[in-house]
Amino acid sequence: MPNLGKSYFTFSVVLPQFESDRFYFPCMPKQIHHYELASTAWIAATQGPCFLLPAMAGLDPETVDLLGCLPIANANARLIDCLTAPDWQPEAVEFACVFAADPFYDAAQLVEDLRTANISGIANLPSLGILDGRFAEVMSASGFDFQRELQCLEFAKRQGLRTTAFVWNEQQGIAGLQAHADQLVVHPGGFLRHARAPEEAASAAVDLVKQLQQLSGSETPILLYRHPTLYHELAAATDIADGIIIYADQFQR
Amino acid sequence: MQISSNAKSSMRESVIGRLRATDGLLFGAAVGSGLTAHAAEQGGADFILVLNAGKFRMAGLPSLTCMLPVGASNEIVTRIGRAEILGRVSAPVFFGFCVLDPRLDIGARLHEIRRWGFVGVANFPTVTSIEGSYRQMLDSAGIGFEREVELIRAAREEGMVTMAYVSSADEARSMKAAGADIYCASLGFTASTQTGVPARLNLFQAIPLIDQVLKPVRNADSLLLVEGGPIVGSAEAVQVCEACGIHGYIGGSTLDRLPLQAAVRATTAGFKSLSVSVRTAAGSNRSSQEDYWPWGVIGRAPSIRRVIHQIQRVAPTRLPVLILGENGTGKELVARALHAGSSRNRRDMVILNCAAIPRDLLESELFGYEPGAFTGATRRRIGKFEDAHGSTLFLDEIGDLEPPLQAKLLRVLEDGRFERIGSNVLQYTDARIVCATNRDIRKMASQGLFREDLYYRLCTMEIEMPPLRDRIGDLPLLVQHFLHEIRAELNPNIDAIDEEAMQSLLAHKWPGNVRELRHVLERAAVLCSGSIIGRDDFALQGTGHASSIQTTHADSPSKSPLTEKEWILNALEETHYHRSKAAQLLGVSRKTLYNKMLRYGLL
Repeated sequence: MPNLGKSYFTFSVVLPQFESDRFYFPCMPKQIHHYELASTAWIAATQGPCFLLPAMAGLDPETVDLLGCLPIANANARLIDCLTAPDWQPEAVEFACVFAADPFYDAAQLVEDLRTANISGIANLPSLGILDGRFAEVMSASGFDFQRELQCLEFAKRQGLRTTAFVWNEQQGIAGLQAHADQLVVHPGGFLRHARAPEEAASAAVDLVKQLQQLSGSETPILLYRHPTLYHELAAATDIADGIIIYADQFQR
Repeated sequence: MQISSNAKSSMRESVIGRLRATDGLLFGAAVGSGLTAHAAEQGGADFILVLNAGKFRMAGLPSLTCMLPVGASNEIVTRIGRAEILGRVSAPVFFGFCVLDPRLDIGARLHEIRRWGFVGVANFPTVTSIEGSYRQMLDSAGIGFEREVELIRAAREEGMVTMAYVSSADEARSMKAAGADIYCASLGFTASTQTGVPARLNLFQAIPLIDQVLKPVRNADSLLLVEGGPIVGSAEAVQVCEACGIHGYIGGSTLDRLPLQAAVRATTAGFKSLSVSVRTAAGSNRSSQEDYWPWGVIGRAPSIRRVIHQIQRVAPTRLPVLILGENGTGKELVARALHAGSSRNRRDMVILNCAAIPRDLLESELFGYEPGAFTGATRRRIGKFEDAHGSTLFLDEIGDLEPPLQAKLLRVLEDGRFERIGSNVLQYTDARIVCATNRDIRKMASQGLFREDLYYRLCTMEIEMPPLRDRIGDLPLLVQHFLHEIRAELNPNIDAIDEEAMQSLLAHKWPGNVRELRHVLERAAVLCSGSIIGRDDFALQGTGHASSIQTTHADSPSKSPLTEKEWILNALEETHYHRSKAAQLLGVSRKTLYNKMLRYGLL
């Protein structure tokens, strides 16, 4: 049974071919199965916070984190399009997910656009944090890396936005704490690549949550992203993490 | 309009036949704009490959931006290809096709691409650029290389020419099974210091790798190409193609970004240098410039403005200052500025180069000595600390100071107290200490080669002088400033330098920094027979062109501090080669000086 005293978030996605409609799945785990395709007007009436990630609309939930940082969409342009749509209702959206290492969108412009759309929170998704090996090194050498995303979040925080840092490993988690993110979300996707079984990845993610909780001394909430491929394996983690994020598309009919 | 399978096949064979019939090496232009495509065709490109990477390069970003979620790759390529390239070039045009989005209907999109006029496709952006477990996860999820193989198979069925980017022999085999016509061995993104992409391979390492990757597809039907990695120009491309026995090369950043940047830089520099020449010839008011560049620290670059600001803030204080920077950047100029801007400027600044004096004499230079302190010390001599009382003591090359002297210096910095050698009477100095070094003193401190406590005392205020290559935009101003001085000192007929000469100077790397620039201009001014210094005046010195401008001074950042020979030479010059006076100045006997001069071939 989930602890309702904790924070629960969900991603909301927008299908670009139906500009006036949005898929929205709020974050009440007890009632997840009740929610369906919703209109913009419905979003306005919805209770509970959500993360908005329009760029990945329509992707298979199990691969969305793999594809998020590839050139299949302009993540930030789609977000801003969504936020500036005439029927935009921001009440349900607590955090806008941005590609925070976008060379075409500097942090100041991004924050300004979010403010204009009455968004008060920002999160680094899609993220380069998922990359590893030589590819990550080459990207980082050209200035495209997780650290750059954190710099964007830090700037946003100085400008008064709430910040959520998605992290894939211990090093990123510590960096996120040092960047004074308002909350961290442990993304188990990084552990899946090395795990022999899903349970192993889930266990590693839970361990990281615990470790970051110890490091933060309960000052910074440590949330867990309930990765679609680890849905059942992570069930026990809801008692440990300070909050859970569910990718709502997995419940889409 | 339906195209018959015969017509499809005919078009494909025609393009491949055309590429095969090319004289010499095949060259494919990987572009992101109509301008580049058109120019490449005029230059003889055999085919045009439209890539999202080309668009990002035109925006001043590295090619690898093509792998980021900053634009849907296929939409970008479609827009550029249809609006700027198709119908405007006669060379075959290929579509860089991104299949990473699993929602994409490859067959339907291929049909459109062909209908628009593209003759072929290539799997780009490609997961072959990706290594590590992230790549494995993409492949495991069926959204990686498998989709790219599917693209090649479907394109072949569509009757298009198929180009496969591959980075391993296994990938080449898979593409061969799918029916690829052209194989491009990808060596990764082009290495560049400007974009930060590190060089993974050198040319000699690349050659066996290409052989290995393309080995499974070497046959009479395949066209084999290479791209990226250490190939940064046509010479390297030809070298690699000939060594590997392959058909050609695909150029991206080597075709547009690198040459375009160089051309724009040179052209802009031409305009700038011309305007400097005009202003100089018109007799621009130098005094107003001197007002603008306080203390002779010249430049408009933000890094130099920052230095000037720091000097203005720090000069009136008595804080010790550590000046960092390569040789020739103007560290002494900064020290003089700090002195000039302080209330101590009524007295001359005292200068000591710690690297110019042998270790065993440095202590007596700094602290002075009493008679009988050591052999040859017949009378009292005051040291630099005492000499600089009420003034500024500039200790150059502080990184060369020996550890025992570092401890003594720290003590002087703490309370101004010290003892002359051979005395136990405490002396006091009110000297303001300014130090400079071209060495990485922070690293030295962390490695235990320089006392950390002294470093932290000195680094209360650090001023870092940028190398000239990092503020090359200031070069025309510096040239103007030096020409003014050179006119007065060496050749009153010199008015300016011409545009070509200025471009040569702007293209040089200036390892000796501003000092090297001044020396180069001085030599050119002496050799110039007219009033305008031209590029040939540099070439007269046997330099050929500015990229090989040499300086005879110890300007290179890698050059070690002054040697004993240079130290002796300096003393001889200072005393007009009076050996007794030079020996006295150096603190050695006349006989010792004679022996050293003999050893160094100075006699």
